[in-house]
Amino acid sequence: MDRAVERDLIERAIAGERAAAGELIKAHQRSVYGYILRMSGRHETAEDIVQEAFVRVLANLHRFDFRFRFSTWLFTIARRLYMNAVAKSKPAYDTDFVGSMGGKGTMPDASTYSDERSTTQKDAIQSALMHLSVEQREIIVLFHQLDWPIALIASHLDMPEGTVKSHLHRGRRRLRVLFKEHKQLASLYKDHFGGAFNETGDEVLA
Amino acid sequence: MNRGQDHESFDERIPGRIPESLIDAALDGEICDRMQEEIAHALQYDHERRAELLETADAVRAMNLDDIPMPDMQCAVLNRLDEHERFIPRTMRRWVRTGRMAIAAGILLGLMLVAGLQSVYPRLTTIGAQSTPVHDVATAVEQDTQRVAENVQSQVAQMRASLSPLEGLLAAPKPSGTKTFTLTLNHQVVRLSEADLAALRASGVMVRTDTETNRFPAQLNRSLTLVSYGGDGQMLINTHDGLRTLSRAKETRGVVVVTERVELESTSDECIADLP
Repeated sequence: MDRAVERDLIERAIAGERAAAGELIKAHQRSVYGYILRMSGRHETAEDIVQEAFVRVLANLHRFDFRFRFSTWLFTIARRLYMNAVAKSKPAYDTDFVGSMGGKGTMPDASTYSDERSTTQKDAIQSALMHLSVEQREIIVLFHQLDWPIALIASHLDMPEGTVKSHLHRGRRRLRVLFKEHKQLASLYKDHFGGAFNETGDEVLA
Repeated sequence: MNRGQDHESFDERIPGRIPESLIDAALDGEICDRMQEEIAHALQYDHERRAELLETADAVRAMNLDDIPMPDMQCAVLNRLDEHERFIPRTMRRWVRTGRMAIAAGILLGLMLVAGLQSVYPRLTTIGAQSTPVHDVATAVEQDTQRVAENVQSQVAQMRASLSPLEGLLAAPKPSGTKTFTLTLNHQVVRLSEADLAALRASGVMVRTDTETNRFPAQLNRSLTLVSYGGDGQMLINTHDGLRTLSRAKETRGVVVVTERVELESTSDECIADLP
């Protein structure tokens, strides 16, 4: 979105224009939702967090500093909400019992996620991403999915650019290998179960 | 986990291979167009690196945002914001703003009014505890004192009226050499002879000597009544109405000295009889 247009929308939203706020949501919801979904691996978690992030940002829009981009602010708040959600649900994953329950919490265990979801071509990338470290996953999503420059990622994550690049390169290599593996696994499932295979693979697993 | 690193160290040792760092730089978009062309040309001969690059591109392509099914959150977010009254119609917003200003102006006017009254009528608008004027207290004390004095006066008059049968005894000199009883009545020492006792009895005052100690009537209700007189000088006198209060007294050299007051719960004969 053009910066001038964005500024105009923000000013109108501050003045109380509902439609302008709607336009801001429309313009940014896909990117921030995609970001949180890739991080959490769960649609419902992503939806909750993104909604909350939008509510907080729009409720405090009068505090917005026009020197920065709206998207940066929104992503920072969404990321903080996600981190809080992970921190809150973390103890549940520290126990073997809850871990074996198959991820009712915010962030599923990578292996659980793999078992449940890696059966489809569509979810192979998500499954591969969930096997990366949080830093690698986040940097790859920001760089390759959202096309953020290295400098902006470094600023967003409060990390030196060299460290960002290091995470990016290692993560990308691992992602390549993991994605290939998960794709092969998905193909195997498809060949084996044939017509019983559905889009998500949930029926087969059930 | 270390597969990527192993590849890198292995690749770097093979002559003619494209360094992985160069591929990374290309993927990061950090090399110029001429260099990119050179890498593209070199990749035609480095099949392994080419396959890796294609796989990487495949993975990156799979992360396409457009492939993600996404709910429209616009309505949900705006509805939640409406709960916080973030977006309300302009006309209503104007009304709210006007209302707030009116409330603020009202509070300001109220404060100014109080300040004005404070300067004119300080006592009217002082919320804290006010000191009571001294003349009010003095008047109240004076009135109370007057009331108490009147009360005492009426009680004394009542007491005097009850003592009227003894008035003659107070004035008349007593003959010496006869057996007398001495009482302190109304701050005066009264000596009673046996004849006086008889006169008292005749006037209605109930007087009992030691021989009659155990037979006190319940209707003994006159003031300053000798209730009992013992041979050893011990006596009981009734100095108040009824038999509520008796005093244990002793006669010493013709003077009755009250030694103990006895408060009675009831006026029954038994209670009186229990007294020594």
